[in-house]
Amino acid sequence: MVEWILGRKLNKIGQRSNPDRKFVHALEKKILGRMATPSRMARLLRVATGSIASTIMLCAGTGAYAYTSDVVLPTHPLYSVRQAIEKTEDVLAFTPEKKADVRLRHARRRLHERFLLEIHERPVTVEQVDQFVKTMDGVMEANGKLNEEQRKKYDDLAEKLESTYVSSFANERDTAKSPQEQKKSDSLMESQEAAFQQHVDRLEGERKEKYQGVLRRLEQRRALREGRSAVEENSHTEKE
Amino acid sequence: MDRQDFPEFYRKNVQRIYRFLYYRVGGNKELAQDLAQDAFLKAYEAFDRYDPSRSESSWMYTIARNHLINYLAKMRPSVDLEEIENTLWDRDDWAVKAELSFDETRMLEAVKKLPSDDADLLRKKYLEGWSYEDIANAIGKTEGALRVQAHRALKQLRKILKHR
Repeated sequence: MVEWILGRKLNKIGQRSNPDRKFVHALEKKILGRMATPSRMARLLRVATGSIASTIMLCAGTGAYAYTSDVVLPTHPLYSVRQAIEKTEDVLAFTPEKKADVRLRHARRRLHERFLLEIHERPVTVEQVDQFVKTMDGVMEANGKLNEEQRKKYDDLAEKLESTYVSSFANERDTAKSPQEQKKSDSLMESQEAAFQQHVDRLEGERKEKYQGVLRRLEQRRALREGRSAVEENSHTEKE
Repeated sequence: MDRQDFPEFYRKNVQRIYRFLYYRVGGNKELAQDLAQDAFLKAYEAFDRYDPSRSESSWMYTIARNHLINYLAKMRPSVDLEEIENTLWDRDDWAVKAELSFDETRMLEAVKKLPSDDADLLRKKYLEGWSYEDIANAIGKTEGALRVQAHRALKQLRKILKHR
């Protein structure tokens, strides 16, 4: 019995050393606050992850824009991004058919870029023609690795692209206005045709003959026009 | 363990851990609060690594005890850690700071005179507020054995008080 009383007295002493309620609540609040706030490492990780994710998204967004936008043309700062993406696409095309597909798509894009340049009345440079030629060479290389049936299909598609591209030479000439502009346009066109000639030289059979014929006619028209221009200049000089 | 469970853990153990620290820092309330806060914040950081198969009380007690020893070692850098641990109950001024009555002081002095195991048991059970289950988990004895030991210790305490 007495032992029980002693125990109770010791208990009473112990209870006097209880923590203040204010302290208990304040510490609990602090702990809850820490639960709501991630640790410093977690915060740093969150910032780092967020930054990396933002950078990736920015790159992905920039890449997507560079790849698809009609604003991104040769001389645009993001054009190199488009070229890099196309290169990657080409590398990742593992089967011959897939590679032919990808290269044809790139050639179509070169053609589309030419149209956009014309629409915006920006000069089509020899480099742009070179790029088309290079892309078409890639198409031919990829087509060469296909079976007969597939090759015929992709060659037909390539030929349509080439025809459309060549016809743009004539269209550009037709839009020229003054003799001076015409002369400038002719000079540029001559360079472009020379670049395209390199591609035609690598073709074979009917296709080669067809484009040889086209380029010959374009040259004759230019010569005719140059002749007419020389006559016009002479008559103008005489009048003065 | 999930840190979401920590507030519950805190509420169950705060009183006990505070009292443990309070008696070992000479009844200094502010110091006991600081040490208790640090101990619980340390426990919170380590809570996701806590193995629930281990007793909550003994886990928290270990953290608090180690934190206290580190604190005292900093205060007395020349003193051995083991000596610090052994003298945790030997402060003479804590009774004054704890505002105990004369009888209460006498009782606690008498507890000191008990064999160390018995004194430790009575401190844990009555002064610090441990349950028999928690003490059993901490020191590896059965609850029944502890109840018997506590009873004998109180009997011995009564004899000591009677003779003073």
